[in-house]
Amino acid sequence: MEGLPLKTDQAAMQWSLDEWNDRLSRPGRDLLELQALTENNFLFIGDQLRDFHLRSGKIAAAAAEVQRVLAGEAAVEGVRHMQALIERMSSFLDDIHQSSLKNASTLRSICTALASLDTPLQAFQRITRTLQIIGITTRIERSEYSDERSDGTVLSEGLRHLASMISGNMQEIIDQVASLRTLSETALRNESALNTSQSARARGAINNARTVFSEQVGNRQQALQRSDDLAHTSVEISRCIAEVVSSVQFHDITHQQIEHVNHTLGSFCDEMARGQRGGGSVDLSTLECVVAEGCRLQAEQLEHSRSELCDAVRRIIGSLHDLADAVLAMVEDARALAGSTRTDGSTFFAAVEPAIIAVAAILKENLATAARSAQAVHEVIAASVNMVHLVDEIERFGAEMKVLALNASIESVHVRDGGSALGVIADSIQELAHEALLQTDALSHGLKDITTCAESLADIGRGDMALEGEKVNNLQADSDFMLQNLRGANREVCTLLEKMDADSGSLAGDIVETAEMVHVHDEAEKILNRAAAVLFDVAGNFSTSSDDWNQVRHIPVFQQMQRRYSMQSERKIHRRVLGDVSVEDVAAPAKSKADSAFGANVELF
Amino acid sequence: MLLAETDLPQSRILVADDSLVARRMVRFALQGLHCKIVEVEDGLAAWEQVRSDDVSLLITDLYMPKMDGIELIRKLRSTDDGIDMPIILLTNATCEEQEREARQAGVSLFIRKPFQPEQLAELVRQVLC
Repeated sequence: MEGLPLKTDQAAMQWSLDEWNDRLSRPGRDLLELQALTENNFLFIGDQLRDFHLRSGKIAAAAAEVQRVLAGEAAVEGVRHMQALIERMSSFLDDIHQSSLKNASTLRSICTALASLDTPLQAFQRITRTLQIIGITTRIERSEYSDERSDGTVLSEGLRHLASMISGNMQEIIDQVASLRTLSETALRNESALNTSQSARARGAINNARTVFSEQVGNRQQALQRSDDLAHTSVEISRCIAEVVSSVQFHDITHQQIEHVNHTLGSFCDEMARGQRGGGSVDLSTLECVVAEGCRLQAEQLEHSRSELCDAVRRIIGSLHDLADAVLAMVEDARALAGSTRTDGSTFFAAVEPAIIAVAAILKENLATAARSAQAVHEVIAASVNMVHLVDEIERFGAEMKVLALNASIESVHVRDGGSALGVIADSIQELAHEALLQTDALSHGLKDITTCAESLADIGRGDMALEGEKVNNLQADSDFMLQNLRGANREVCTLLEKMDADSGSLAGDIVETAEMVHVHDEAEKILNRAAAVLFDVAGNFSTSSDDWNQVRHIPVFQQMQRRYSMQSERKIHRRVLGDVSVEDVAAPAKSKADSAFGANVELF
Repeated sequence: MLLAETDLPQSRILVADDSLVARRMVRFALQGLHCKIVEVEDGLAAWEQVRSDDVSLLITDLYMPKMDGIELIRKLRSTDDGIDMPIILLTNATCEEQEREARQAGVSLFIRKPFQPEQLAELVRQVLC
């Protein structure tokens, strides 16, 4: 303890009472000014904190809602349903593709069978022409032989009639074959379109959709990770708010310390006054020295309070800045969770919609083509059915040809008696009949092949196109429903994110503005420094020894000064400044096991 | 939510502290409990409030004008209404002597400032539930 060793006369004080009052009242006034200043500032911080807490809570709730929409069970279920829908669509398209392949194969067989009819048809045309010629020739030859036993005109008429019939039927057959050929080729083109290019596009769309959904699953994993980020950010916001609350309480802590200083300074003035009136038990010069040293102690207490208060305010400012950062980070985390950027404003969901739409479009297109090909196949089947009766007609030709050939043989026997020309005719007819039979067989087989293929087309068939159409409508309806949900979820998330952007920007701005408005620590520092300087100055004018303190220990004002201490920090400073001899040793609170669950600052009784 | 929420609408908490800043912080910490909070500035007002209204929990400071926290607790414990009332002493004080005094007076729980808001809310929730 250093000072000017100017001990005066025992009865005289170095300073007058007025001077003491003046010196000691100045810090008192400063400290009163400080109380008002700090209370207003801390109340302002408290009010702002309440507002920040409310608004950040709303942003956190929006983030939780984004999380729920994107990563919650409903979202998972939605993706699963969409995956199932894609597989249903894939299965439907596969069925179309498979039946199309079978149809194409059968139609090719029909086309091959149709091609095989060309030769017999051409042959029958020749046969027809030959029959006509033979018919004419037969009439001429028979006119030279008048024989009441034979009816030469029957044969020639029979020949002409058969030729005419065959010709007519062949034309019908030729027309029907041509028509069937056209229908078959058209149907084959439809099936080729279905099972080549359209099928490839369908495959591509389905695979793309599968890829998109795999990415959705991957996104969900990422979303779950981002959920952890969100949780951490939420914890950080809580931490910042808690730190501000905790630091604001240092207003009360330091307020109490400062009040103790104020009371002590006041009691020093009272003691000086009593001493001067002659009421004290210690000489005034000793009292002055001790009071001066007491002022040094109070100055140290004020410096400690200044540090605690200013550090608390700096922590408040720091925590407010951290809070602003955390609020902005929360929105960034929510955006990352949604896979959204500010440029496109969309979310993960947006990638799903085009995939589903593409598959649905392919489905419709395939159905339309399938309907056309089904129509074409039906026409082929119908045309093939029409040909069935032709087989019977053709077989009848063969039978008639046989009869004519027999008649011709009989005629030729009759005629041979008179000439050989009819014999040649009869031979020709026999040959024609034989060829006709061969060609009849060929036509019959060919037509039977065609009708067999047509039957298998009917078997393969796509069933009732109305049912197929209903399937597609159901798929379309499911797809539309899911897309509607998807769009709704996307819209909801985008709206939430936009609002979060706006709210967080505004909140962060307000928080930073508040933090920048907080200067109470600067002002408090000036005031407390000023007050402490006055007290240090007082102390600097006197010197004290441990004897002085021993003399005054019994004086109530000094006992009260120590009893006034409610905090270990005050006692520590007392011991440091005045030494161990003076302070009553008051034990710090013992830590009990029971409070560990709630914190070291809690005692349960 | 950033501070955990619990509904305790039937509970009435009395907060006695001469510091408006302190009362605000206690109210802030307990807002998630959705209970009624009444504030008074001194021990005497707290005493009158308890006698006139049904109070579920008293949170009091130690050093207050007119009647300090210890005297308030002693008086309450001597009444029928106050004998079983949960009482939390929320204080800046940090010494065993004050804790002993508080314990002898009948306090339920002693919290030294600064407290964390979740900490106070959880303690109050446990006391009231």
